[in-house]
Amino acid sequence: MSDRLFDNAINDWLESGSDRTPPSAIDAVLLAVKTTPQERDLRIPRRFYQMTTSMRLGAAIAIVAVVGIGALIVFRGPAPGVGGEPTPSPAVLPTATPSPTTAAQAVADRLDITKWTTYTSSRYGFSIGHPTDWTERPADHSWTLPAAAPSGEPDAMGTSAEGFIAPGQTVLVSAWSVVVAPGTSAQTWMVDVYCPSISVPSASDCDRLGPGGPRVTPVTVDGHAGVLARFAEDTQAFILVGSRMYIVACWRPEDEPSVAPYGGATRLLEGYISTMHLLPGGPATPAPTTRPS
Amino acid sequence: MDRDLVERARSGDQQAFADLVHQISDTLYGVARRILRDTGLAEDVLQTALVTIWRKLPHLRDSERFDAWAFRILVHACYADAPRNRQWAMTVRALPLERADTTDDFRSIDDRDELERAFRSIPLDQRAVFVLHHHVGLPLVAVAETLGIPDGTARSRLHYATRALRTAFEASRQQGQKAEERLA
Repeated sequence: MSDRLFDNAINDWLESGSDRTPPSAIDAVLLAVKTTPQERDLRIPRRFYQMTTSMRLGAAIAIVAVVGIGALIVFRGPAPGVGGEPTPSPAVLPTATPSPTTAAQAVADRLDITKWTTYTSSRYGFSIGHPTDWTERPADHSWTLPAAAPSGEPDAMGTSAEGFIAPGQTVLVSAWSVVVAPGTSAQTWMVDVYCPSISVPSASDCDRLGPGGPRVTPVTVDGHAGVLARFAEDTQAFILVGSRMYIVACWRPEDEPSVAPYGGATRLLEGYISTMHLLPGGPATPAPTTRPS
Repeated sequence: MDRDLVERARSGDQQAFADLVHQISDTLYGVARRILRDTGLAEDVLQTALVTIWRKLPHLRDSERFDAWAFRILVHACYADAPRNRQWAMTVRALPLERADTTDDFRSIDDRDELERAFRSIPLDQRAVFVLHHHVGLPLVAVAETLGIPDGTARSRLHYATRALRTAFEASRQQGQKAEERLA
């Protein structure tokens, strides 16, 4: 078998197909970039790129000085009072030990997920914890797009998501999942939901993704990578596993008093997703539901 | 690569990064598509890689090395995303049947099919070396440097990948010859 024949076949096969990037992929990247901060370069260079003779001399003197002082300390023996007789210390007046702030302790207690109750959603294929004093509001029909697109308003979700309501109905956390089209990412999904090309719910929904939009940070949920997007009005976590997107949302602004007892909306949501487990078999086949007319 | 563009993007200029994306996306997409053999997956990986590039750009010390650095991020994104999505990878692809009007054309289609199958069966790290060397045209030393692996490792990965493809190609040719003999 000639090498040329093989090389030609390899070249023919390897170079087939189009390398043109789908425009939607570029759009999604540029959208994500608008809301993704760059990492700060905090590394300190180990050495100057160009060291002059005087700089080298200075560095050498510094090294000698450090080594010399170190040696002096080591060979001089213990300092007075160290290893010798204990020196009597002046009496210390008893003072009140500052106790941990009660507010911080209360937040820690509320976010102690080991004390949370577990809720299992066979409709959406996951289990998730919630504080014991919260009320469960199970979904009574499956979530679809765009009929119930989340618009930052809890009511927009209706009862299509599993809901968890804080005492006094001050906070709502929703959790649901949906099958997405191949190639969907968290970023493109947000665009699909908030900026649909048809039947736009409102311009402000789309604005949510523009400049000053969500601050996106990576998270891991039950071993799966996802993102946590902090919008001005709410915080949502998106976890894509195969063709299914799992979403958990806290419908409150970060610094609203209602979420302060939990350390803010983000910390509360982090508590929720840290208890989330995906059911191995995925969601059960949803039973036919009748939606209120 | 436009060094000025890289420097501006590195200092947080989003428009410069957008221009950079338009310059490099086709090349990166082509590499991801060839390594993963799946256009949808390649698109996902490209997006992940480009966002990572944006995030980590301030850490890039030498803008002259941007291309190699970007390739490395892309290949690592391929490693990270491919296992999760393996079960959904498409194994069907369109063959140019309308052109297959001669024995050579049929043979070519069979060859491609066998090469495709063989390539999908080899590990991703071997595929990455093969694509960077044969498609991008990087010398093996540059491939090793790009991927952060020793030269010898790059050489052995290329060797195993080439051997798998050659075996598949020869098998395809032998089958083709036998089929022709039977027809004759």
